[in-house]
Amino acid sequence: MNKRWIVLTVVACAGICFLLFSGTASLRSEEGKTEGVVEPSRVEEKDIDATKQPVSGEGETETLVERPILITIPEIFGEIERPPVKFYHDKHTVALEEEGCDVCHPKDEKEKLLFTFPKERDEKSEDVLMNSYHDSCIGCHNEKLEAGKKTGPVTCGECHVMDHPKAEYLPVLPEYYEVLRDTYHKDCIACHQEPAKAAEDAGGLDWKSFYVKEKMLIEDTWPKVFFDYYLHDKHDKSLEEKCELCHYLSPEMEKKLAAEGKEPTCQDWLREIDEESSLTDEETAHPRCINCHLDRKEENKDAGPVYCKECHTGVERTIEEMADVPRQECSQEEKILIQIEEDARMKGVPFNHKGHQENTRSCQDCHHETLLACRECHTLDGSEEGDGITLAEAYHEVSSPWSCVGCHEIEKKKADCAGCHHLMENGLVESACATCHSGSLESLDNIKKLDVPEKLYPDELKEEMEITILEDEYKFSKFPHDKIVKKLIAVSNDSKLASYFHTGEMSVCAGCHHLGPMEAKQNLPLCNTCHTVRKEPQKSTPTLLGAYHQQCLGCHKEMGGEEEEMPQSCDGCHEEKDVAIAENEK
Amino acid sequence: MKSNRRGFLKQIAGIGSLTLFGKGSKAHASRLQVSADQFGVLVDTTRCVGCRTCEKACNEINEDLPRKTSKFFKDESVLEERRRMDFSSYTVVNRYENHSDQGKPVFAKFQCMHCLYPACVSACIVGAFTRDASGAVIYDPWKCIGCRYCMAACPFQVPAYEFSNVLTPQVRKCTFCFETRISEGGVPACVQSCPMEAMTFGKRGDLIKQARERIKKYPDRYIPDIYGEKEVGGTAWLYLSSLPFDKIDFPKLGYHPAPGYTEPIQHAIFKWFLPPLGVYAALGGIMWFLKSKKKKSKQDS
Repeated sequence: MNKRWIVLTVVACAGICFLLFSGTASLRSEEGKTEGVVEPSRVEEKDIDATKQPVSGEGETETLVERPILITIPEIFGEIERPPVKFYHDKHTVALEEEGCDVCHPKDEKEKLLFTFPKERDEKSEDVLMNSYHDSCIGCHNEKLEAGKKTGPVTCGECHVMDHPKAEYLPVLPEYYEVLRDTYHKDCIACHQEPAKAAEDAGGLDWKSFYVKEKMLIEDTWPKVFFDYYLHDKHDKSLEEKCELCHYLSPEMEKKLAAEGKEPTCQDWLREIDEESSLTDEETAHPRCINCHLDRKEENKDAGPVYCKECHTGVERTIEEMADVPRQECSQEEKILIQIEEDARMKGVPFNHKGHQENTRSCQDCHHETLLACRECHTLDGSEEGDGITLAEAYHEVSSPWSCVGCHEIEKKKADCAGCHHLMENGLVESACATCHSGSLESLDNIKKLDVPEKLYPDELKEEMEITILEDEYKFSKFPHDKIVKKLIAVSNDSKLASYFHTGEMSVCAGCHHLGPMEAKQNLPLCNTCHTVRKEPQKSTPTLLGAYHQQCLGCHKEMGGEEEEMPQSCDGCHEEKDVAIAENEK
Repeated sequence: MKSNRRGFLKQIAGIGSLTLFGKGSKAHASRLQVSADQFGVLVDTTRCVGCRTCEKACNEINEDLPRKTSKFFKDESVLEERRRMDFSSYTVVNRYENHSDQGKPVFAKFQCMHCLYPACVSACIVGAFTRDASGAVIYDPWKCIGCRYCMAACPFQVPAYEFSNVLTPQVRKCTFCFETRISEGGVPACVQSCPMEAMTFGKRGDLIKQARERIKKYPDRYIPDIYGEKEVGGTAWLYLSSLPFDKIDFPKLGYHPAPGYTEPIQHAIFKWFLPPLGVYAALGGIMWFLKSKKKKSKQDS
């Protein structure tokens, strides 16, 4: 009996102890949590200050929020002990404008700035490099402090802020934030699904504005500067067409080219002496661009920007915006016949280089960064330089935006073309080979615009037809055949690409009448020739109802026109019967 | 079903022999014969325009469902909320914003997927759910006792319950138009009605081939995946989509049939009725032990 009581009391005591312990533990963890919350909010205030700093900029750049540079250097430091420093470069550019860039950046023997940091950089070891950073930053801040000027932080925690860079635009962090932190921005719409719901989802930001801000501020690197025709032209004009100011070719290189009987090309000039570096590299581009901008500023000429965000805008000009910008003169002939081998199976392809120049954003759109001809890297059998992609693939690969066929596929997805083409097969169509492989340059000039449709119609064709398939529920749908044909012909004639490839006089008709012989003045197969009213179980051919809707509505949706012109709702085509009757009664 | 004396006796004899030998009980869901010839429906969500004609046709053919006005089926504001099937509908069409291609929303019709290895059939303790050789998973309200295990078991959370009906509530889910159309050689009402022909009815094997052809022919339009081909062992309804399926509310499920997870537990608990007997025996044993101890202590005192 007694033994039992002893056991019971021991168990009870253990229970009470456990409860007490777990209680204090949970309290402790709550304390931890509140600490964790306080810190980011403090940081947030500071960052807002940083972004408020007046930074001169023109037009479009003003709307951009300044992006910090994260100082991590993983290849040397690996995983660092303290959180990485977020460095606001433009803030420093403004503050040190009078003193000049060489306060922080070293100069080379030609008195040109090298945009490395810190000035006395020593990479002997991890610690030495760390110290050179610390000495430069803290040293300068201390000097300013002693002189009684406004300056930056001098203690560890003020620079190495315990804060994830992605946190600052998340006003209220969701509980699962920590878990998702790494994958968080790979899929914004996972949380910010709908603008209406977004207020609950993520502190009042819909996914779009959230994404734009995040993209500007959060990405670890600045957006690349896309040197398009517009920028090139701007430089061309203000530098009075002195190409050699940027495209410098070393004497040795010139000699070498002359010896080989070659002339310098754009590509050679870009690559300079060192074949490895090009203007797309930060290390090459920064000293060359910024030094020139600074020099011109000193000479009181109109100079380019010096602030990070003025070049790294992240805004990409479209071809339409650059329509008036003249394209560069290049040694390339205007029209060429691409013929790789004399006895090739296919005839050569005439190619309008100038015409394509007008429809690209920069030379790099087709030529990658090398600016070489396709065949230099993409050889017939594939080479290492061409990433193993053969010349035939480089011209024909459907899935690549770089290839001829691939780029044309992308064009076909644009609203004007997609109406007809979305139902057609993608990629290479056997019957169309000869359109490109015509073998003569003359075919480039023989582009026929499509004729007025009246010459093609059979005599009994009506301008407007009635479709009666849903007559039980709806009134007849009016089908403006003539209007549609004229619209499609206009669209085709407006486009250079379409005009070249729509060779037959009836090619627009094939958009709907996709089977059967195409002859002018002849009756084409109608929809109900193949598409039966009842479903045939063995065939995958749509029924008449499906065919009408897929063709009409599919095209309207792809072309995305106005509701009046291209209705996308039921009422747009079908007037309801009972509604009509009711109206008549009134 | 007509029954007569002879039929009744046969049934009794059959049930008797099953209980005697116990092997007939193996004919549960996961061991049903599955063939490529069973029927299915291929839903091409890229074709759907969200007109909800299928919902209307479904409501018209299924007389069990509460009537809805044609005004309801024309009301586009319904699409603003994400809906699920309830007691009043076997199918719903939802609209999903397409973030990669603004202005072109994606519509998806949802209904019972008619699994090849249906969890509801496996979970139902009275056999109210059966899977027909045609592919339809059918519900028999006369057998149903309203336990709603099917609702808990369904990986797609399809079956809905008529909570508003106090006396004769039923579980509601798509019938595949089994009685009204398929058994008479027809196609389901929704498939028949779709003006865009977004749905194709046919043999499941053929449909999979067709779906693959479409993906091959239009690689940009579809993500290279057929939902329902392998999910939970395969479903009669197959889906093609331009967006990843989790973006249009299709759950990410494994490829193993759902009953595979539940059946071993459910069936082991009741196997030969031994485990329950074991539990009862153990409880009885404890009772007997305590009682005899009490007696002893009384005798001692």
